[in-house]
Amino acid sequence: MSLEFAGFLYSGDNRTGQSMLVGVGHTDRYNHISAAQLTSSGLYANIHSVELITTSEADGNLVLLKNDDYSGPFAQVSDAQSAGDVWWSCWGHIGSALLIAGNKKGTSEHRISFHDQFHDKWTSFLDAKLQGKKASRQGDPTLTWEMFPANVSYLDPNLAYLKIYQPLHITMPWYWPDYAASMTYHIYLYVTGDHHLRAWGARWAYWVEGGAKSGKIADELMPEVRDGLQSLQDQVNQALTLTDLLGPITDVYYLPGRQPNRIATGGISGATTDDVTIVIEQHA
Amino acid sequence: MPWSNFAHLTAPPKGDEIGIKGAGSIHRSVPFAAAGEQLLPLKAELAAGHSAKTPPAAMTAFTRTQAARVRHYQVDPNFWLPAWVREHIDAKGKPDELIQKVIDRVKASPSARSLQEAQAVLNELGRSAEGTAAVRKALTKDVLRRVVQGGQ
Repeated sequence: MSLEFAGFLYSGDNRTGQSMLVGVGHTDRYNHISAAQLTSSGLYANIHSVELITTSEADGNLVLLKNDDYSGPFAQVSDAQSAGDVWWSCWGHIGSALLIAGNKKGTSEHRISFHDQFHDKWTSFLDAKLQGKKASRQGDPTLTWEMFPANVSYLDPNLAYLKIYQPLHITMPWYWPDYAASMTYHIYLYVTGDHHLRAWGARWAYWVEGGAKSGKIADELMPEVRDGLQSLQDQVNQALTLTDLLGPITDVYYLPGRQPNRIATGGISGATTDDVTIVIEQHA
Repeated sequence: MPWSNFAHLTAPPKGDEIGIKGAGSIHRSVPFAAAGEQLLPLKAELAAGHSAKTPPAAMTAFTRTQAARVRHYQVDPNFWLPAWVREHIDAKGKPDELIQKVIDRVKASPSARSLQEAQAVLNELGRSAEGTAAVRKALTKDVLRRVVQGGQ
């Protein structure tokens, strides 16, 4: 076998106009097509139909994304293994694309929602940490992904990460207006040598709204955010021990949004900020 | 409320979707119930850092295998047409005959190299609507499946 699946991107509807042949090589997982590549090929914001061709090797998933960095509103088309040659019309601004091979021959998959696994643990963990502090949680976190980050410090552009973004409200004394701030964490999921799924806290970051008090707020916030990375990693790893019950795990990959069930042949649309579907792969 | 100053940057985009129509059922990825309370990420950061600890060896080993399984499609601007393609052009061969040669070569010798060569030649032809039509005419469903399956 030489490819998991192949596909075409077309500038015209009904598989016309300019075309680009793309695919995922045998044993590969992802093939990402950057905004720069789409631009230089005349397909940036100019894809109007797509086609997938699968074999018995894997399901083919093609994710079309609005933003240049594999984020934002998305539409995913999927072609079940052995389903053959299928195509879709598409519209909207497409700034980047991902090809993802799933449901590979000889494997079984188990899907979990990043949000369902993690949201409640995060909010209770953070609320406890912020008890009695000037900072408080501003609404819910965004639990999303950071795929192949080209320009994000401390992250590897060849890897896929989970991302937690939490807006904060900083309460100020006297009549000073309150401040907006945020904290961001990146987590990397990996499979250990003894086939367990575990997490590594890869990166922390924070932001404070500009103003005369922002430096002082940042000085107080920074050590909390920095030191929180290890606590977060411990929390996620504690949650992931539940996946040990599944048996030996061979791989993990991500699909955008909330996809509790395999699509087979069809599509799904939404936004990468909806959720991340964590797909755990095992030998069949 | 300090975040009201940033509402326009953090609200979910409206009428900004990517639409699809075609094979199979099309679903919506439903945001979780509390999505109304969610402010979307701002790009802004004041500072960032990473763990002070050394990553576990198992993670480093996993990242190596994962990175090797990721491709980034990129047209090689220095791709030099293989001799057999140049000979075909010099002999004033037709595009559809060239496409057939490309397919035959992949089927005869399926490898990463022959596939990359085929991809480069077919995508060069696919830069025009006429080229796309010729590629689609030759790359029928059965032919494509045989190419994908490595000539079988």
